[in-house]
Amino acid sequence: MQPAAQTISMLLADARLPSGGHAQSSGLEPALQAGVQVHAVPAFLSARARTTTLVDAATAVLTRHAALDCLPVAPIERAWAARTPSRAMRDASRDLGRGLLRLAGRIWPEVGSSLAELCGPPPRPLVLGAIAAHTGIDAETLVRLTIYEDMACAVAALLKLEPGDPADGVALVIEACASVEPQIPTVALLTSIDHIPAAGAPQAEAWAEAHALTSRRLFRA
Amino acid sequence: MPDISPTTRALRLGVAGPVGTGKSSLIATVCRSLADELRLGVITNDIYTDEDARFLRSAGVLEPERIRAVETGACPHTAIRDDITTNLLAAEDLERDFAPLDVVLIESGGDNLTATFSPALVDAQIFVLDVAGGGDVARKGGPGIGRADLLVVNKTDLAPYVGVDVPRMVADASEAREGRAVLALSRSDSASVAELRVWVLSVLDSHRRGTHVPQDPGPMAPHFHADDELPEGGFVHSHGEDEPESLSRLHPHSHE
Repeated sequence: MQPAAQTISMLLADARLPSGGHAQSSGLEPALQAGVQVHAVPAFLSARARTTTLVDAATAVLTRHAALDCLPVAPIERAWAARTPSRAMRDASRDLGRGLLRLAGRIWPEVGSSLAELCGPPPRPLVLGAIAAHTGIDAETLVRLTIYEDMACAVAALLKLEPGDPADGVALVIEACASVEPQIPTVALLTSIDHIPAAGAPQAEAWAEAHALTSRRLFRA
Repeated sequence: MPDISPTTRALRLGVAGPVGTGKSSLIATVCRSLADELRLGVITNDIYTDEDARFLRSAGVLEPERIRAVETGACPHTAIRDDITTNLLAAEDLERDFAPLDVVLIESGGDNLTATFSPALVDAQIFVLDVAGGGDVARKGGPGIGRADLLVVNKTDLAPYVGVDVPRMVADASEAREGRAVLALSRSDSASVAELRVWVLSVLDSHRRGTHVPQDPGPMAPHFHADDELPEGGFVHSHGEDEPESLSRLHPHSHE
């Protein structure tokens, strides 16, 4: 017996979901470590949302389609990796994907079969897409879930790194999610791998690479 | 990703306790006394990532590759109880990369008296106090002090300098633990180190024989609920498997 897909999507968006997310910062700790000031965090978030995050969201949408139609997912993973040039970012996403897949293995065992052809641990958007396919989450909700989760993760980390009023953090999440709202319907309709956005964020990718080499950090990436 | 089969699964031994009580040093001591006979791995959970891992690597007690650090997002408590994913994956990686391992030691980031490991992460756990933290800490109780598999009262060599009566502290701890194991330890006291070694080997032995059952010390210590309507002004209440259902219905409250 499963609850409605809407409930599953809320569960997946909940930061308390035990899948390893609390040790991640969506690139925010790397940015702050590189000298980004707190007042520039909204700009960082909206830049992340329309680049890295939308690539992930589109990847999740394509994976959902592939899982529903029993199509191969390896080409989707390759397309995602090609659009995520930072190894540190790919590693962080695979850590998250592995944690989420581990949980999914307990709750929705069939999710793993959609990703079985992949050699290593799948990146997070592929796991999210496969869960969406198996739990009936629609594409547009999946896109919003991917964006919300990434932004909320960054802001939760912000409260640890540059402590401020948590209510300000909530406003930041809402603002960042709203900033890409116009693109969401288009991303949700994607059916071709070639149309996954290829919006790079080279500065943030460089920060992620530098962060991965530091020995003093609170977050994985 | 499939779980590692029970035959290749190491004993996972957690080491928790407040900051500065000597968790890293205890792990180094365990490694020193057992590295010749057991295949060991270590995972550290730091606030600032790899401080403890670097300490252990520099202690030279294990190959550096067998000591790994995980990030905890400034929540060492969460990483060993509410969301153990990162530690589970690190343990599975160590067990895969150095198979077969006998014991994986998992060091929690120093936290307060309420931080204990989830039994889904470790098979057994040691809670570490030290004499320098004060002789009365053992009496204060808490899930780790009360119900960890072993309570270590560490740095007994410092007792004369901090005015702590070690036998008294051990007696207080034994009372709080209702007879569960307590060990007064100093890394410079070889007899106590030998006792620690024997304890680890005995847990490993019962783990291998399949007779060891992981215990959950619980996230909360027994605590007092004030209630003016009750004859004694309230009642003492614990959160364990033996918690009477009627009590939890009577006084529902969050443990977060």
